[in-house]
Amino acid sequence: MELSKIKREQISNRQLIFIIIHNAVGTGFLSLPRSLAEVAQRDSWLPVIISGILWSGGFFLIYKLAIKFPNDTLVGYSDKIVGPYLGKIISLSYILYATLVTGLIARISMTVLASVNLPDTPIPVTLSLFLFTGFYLVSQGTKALARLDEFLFFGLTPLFLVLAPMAFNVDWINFRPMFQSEPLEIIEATYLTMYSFLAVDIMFIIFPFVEEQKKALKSSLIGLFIVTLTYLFITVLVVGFYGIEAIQYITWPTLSILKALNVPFFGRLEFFFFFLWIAIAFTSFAPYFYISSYGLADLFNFKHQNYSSFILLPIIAFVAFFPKNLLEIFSFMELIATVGLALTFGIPLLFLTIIKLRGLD
Amino acid sequence: MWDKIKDFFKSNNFINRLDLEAEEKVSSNLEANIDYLKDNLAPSSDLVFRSFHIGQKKEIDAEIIYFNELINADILQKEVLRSLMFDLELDCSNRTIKKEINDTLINSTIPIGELETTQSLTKALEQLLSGDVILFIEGIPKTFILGIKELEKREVQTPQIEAVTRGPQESFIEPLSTNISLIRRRIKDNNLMIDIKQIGERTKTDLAIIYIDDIVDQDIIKKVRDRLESIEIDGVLEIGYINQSFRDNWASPFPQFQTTERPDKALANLLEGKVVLLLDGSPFASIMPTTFIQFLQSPEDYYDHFYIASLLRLFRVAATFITISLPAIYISLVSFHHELLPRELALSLATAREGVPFPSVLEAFIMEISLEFLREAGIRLPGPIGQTIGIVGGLILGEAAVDAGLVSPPMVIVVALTAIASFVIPSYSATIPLRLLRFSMMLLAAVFSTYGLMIGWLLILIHLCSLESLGVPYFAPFAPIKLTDLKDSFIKFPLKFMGKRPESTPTQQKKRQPDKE
Repeated sequence: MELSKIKREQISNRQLIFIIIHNAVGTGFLSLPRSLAEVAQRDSWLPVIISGILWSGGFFLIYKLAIKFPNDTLVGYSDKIVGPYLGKIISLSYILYATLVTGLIARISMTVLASVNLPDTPIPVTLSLFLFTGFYLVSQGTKALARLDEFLFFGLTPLFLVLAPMAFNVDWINFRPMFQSEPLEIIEATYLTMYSFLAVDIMFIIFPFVEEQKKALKSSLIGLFIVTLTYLFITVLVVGFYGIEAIQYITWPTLSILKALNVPFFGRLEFFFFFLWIAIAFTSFAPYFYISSYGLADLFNFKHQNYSSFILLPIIAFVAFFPKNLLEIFSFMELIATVGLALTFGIPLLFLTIIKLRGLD
Repeated sequence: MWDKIKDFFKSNNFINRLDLEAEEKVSSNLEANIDYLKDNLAPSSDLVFRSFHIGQKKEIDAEIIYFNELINADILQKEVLRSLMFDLELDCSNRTIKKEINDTLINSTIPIGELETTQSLTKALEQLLSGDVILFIEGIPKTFILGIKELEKREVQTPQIEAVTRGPQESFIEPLSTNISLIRRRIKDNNLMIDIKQIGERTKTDLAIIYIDDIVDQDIIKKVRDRLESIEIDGVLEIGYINQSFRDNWASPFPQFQTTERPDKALANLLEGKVVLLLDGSPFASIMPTTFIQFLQSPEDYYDHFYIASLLRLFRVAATFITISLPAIYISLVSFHHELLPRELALSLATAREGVPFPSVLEAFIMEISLEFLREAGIRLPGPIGQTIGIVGGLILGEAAVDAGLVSPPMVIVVALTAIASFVIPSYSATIPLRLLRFSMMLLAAVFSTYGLMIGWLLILIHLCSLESLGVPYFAPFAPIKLTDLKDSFIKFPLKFMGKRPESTPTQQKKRQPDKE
């Protein structure tokens, strides 16, 4: 990547934290407690912590790899490590994966929107507005993304703290007795939780723009810690509130729990939070758009990411329309998240080994 | 070949224009100098060539040239012509006459403060055009430039747009010299730098770049100068011309530089390491770089108690929100999401809307557009008639529209509240984009209801986050977060805690006061 561009779009380490948080906390936030409770039953909090720890390993690997090429994205250093042909294939598959995730997150968000808020508006219409907003953000570059995430974090978090008093309603009996699940169940649940944390891979693309790269690991781990904490809080709250039996019949338990919020005079406060959730879904969707757009621009040496965004928009829209219903969306998501897991752990492991073997240090 | 074509166009386009590159020297022959000026000046009626003889013996020819509407004729006759014609005693047989005239004129004959000499005819011509008197003397290869300009101006008045209840009641006026004096008078700092440049190919308007040399960041100054250099324009009539050609993002509706008519505000910004531009003929100063939150701050905030200032600032933030989105919120609640309203409120809204023929979107658009009409009409009309517009438009029209059942009373309340909120924002130039955004938000809300609202706000936020003003993030201190700057943003801390200059604008000295040893 060109040095002038890196300099122009530099982001601070603090902004990296917020990007990671917003990227990870998105759509998974709504359905995670249900899928956890289905598999891990009373130990549903445990997989969250385990996947937090596992992901920090992912961060460590990517950091180790990226720090060796401070001015390159994945596209740049995969060329250097495995040669132009294989390198391009790896980068392209990563970009493709990011594009698929972009489309699916957009689709999930719009499906939730349709089921909660706008039942009569066709999904393609709402989706095109969503995609346009994403396109606009990506066209404004890394700085705009970082600043938006930073602002929204400080703007939205205090509002979501109103959920905190609901912790009194948690029935702890739903978590006792502890450690009763089979190890296999825990592993499966961990695997499920890992999807919701998918955000680590943004480090492949955003790393060259980080101001103090040596401290990037620390910042990303702080981000991961906050993400883990958020998911832990939500899981405990929602599972504890509904109980493991009832929760399995609720599609979006995190949204439903807001209905229990009762403030005099203001009728249905959960809708208010739902609007804020649109912003959260957007900030988890936009970084993937950013990844695919910047990755493609880097791969083909486009001057501006707008060109690659233009190419990607129809693909993303196609991906978003592809699944027919919610079940298909979830199964696609599982498939793609598995690919994502393989890529985020596989690429750095493979590359680091090759570097060792070829002595590229 | 290409060069020849270029030259051809150049020579044709600029045939009447001064070529500043080629400097013409003043010759010692009086006739030659006058011929040069006559060749290069359109023969205007207000251009005066007055030839006379210097000294009591009337032996040396001289000529003064000026535009008679730009100078003080009284001083010219009494102080310049009288002293040259009658007071000067010269021994003309002497060979050192040239040197002597030079010295005597400057030192002892003409009692004028602004007197300089030049050897360049081009410069003399420029000075003549800007209102100075120029004097040629036979046998001397020099021009004397006498600064006895007298330009019409109005008195310094109270600020019209940025009126405050408390604080200085002076505002900038048109002449640059008065405006500079208004600033210079308030700050007796040896590092205050005022750099005057000319801008506009034809108007050659004076533009003052003002900054405090040891506070301002050198990069910012360099950017200001670079952008000034890059301006290509034939005439500059108002500081808005400069602002528009300076912008980082030309397409943004938001003002990227602040304009103010208050000298105290300009000075406060100078002290924060900003650059102030003053243009001759414009009663507004332009402050750069600017952050968005500055448009929600009023000079009064700093003069008043901090509780009150903080409260007012919070109100202004709320007013900004209301100005942009209240009609949109109303539309989306009434036409899509009755369930979001508390039951009693929903019922009373429904009762009020009974019988209104239009959908709420159309109703809102009709009301908002008529309100904008009223506002424009009010500005154009002279004071007493302007009030009539307020009464006819606001009271009679609104009342009649409700009585006729064309609009519902809640809609009138919403529109009126929005209008009032937009007046709460201290900076007029900042309300213009907000009004613009309000209409787009109404459209979004009409199509997508609350989802449209949220997306609209996201788009606005993304735009604000991406904007920069001379490289300074426009939405600072919120994005990127600057904790120390938050003390003086939507709230205001007591003066005691403001020992540091704002961080979002880079400065050379971070602290306002150096540490006392």
